Amino acid sequence: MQESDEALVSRVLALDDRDAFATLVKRHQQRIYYLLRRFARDPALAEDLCQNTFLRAWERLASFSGSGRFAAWLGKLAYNEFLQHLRQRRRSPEADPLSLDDPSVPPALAPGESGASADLERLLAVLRPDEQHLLLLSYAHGLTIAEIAEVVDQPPGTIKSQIHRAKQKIREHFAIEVPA
Amino acid sequence: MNEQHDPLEQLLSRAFADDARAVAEERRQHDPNASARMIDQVMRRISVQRRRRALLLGGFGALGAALTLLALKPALTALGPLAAHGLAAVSASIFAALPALPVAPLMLLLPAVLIAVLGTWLLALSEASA
Repeated sequence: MQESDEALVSRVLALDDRDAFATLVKRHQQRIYYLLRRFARDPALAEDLCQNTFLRAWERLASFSGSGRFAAWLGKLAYNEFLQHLRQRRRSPEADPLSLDDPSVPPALAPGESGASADLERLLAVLRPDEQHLLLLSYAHGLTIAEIAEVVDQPPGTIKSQIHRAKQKIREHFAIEVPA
Repeated sequence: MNEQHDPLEQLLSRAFADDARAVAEERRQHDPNASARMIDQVMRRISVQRRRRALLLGGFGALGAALTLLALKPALTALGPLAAHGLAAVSASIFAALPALPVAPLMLLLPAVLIAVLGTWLLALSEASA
């Protein structure tokens, strides 16, 4: 049976077991990479931020209380790494890659076009970056509302309504019917 | 509202799952060893960081040891050369073992550096008086 994340964390903390930490990296790196790949929109940058995330996880492992899921805790570290990168970038004269008028953001589907045929890029293109991030944390990283609230440091009620609004935007833009 | 039957929920779930698979495939095609390399680099950076921390801790330890020695100098001169050689041997062994030590026992550095400086000091004293 696969050892739980929490058990591996305990081994790292109690025995300084590097193999246990390597197992955690192996288990979560693809998901964290995907999250950062979507946040940053750059494969090389995502690799760097992913490495930094796990390094930070090693440094701060003792602060993982074990009350929540390890995946959520890692998600928060990854999100913070990304925000830190954005802050550094904003201090530089270069433009923010995630600004709303970013030409790299693909065009949205024309209203009324079938939502079923839309790929993720086109679905998310109708949302602001912060709304995209919330959906990403929810659907791609599998976090609950409470966990997302913890990650982005906002009240759960705010997150819930923001996600609802984001989904509403997609629903309206692509004319997706509301189930009865 | 039953989310399982909501077309938007189904669409988003499927789109994210497909996209995650596509990104994983893209990463694998770009570098088949990306995953293994990531683990390797993370563990390597941890080792480097650990050594840096050990050096920093050792530096503070040495400083503390030097200050302690200055304070204890009169008492140390009373000890014989045998004790000095013994302390020097112990400190050398501890220093030899330092690179293999994990992060948690890093605190050993402080007494280790103290013993090392102490031993060297005593050795020098005993040789000078011989």
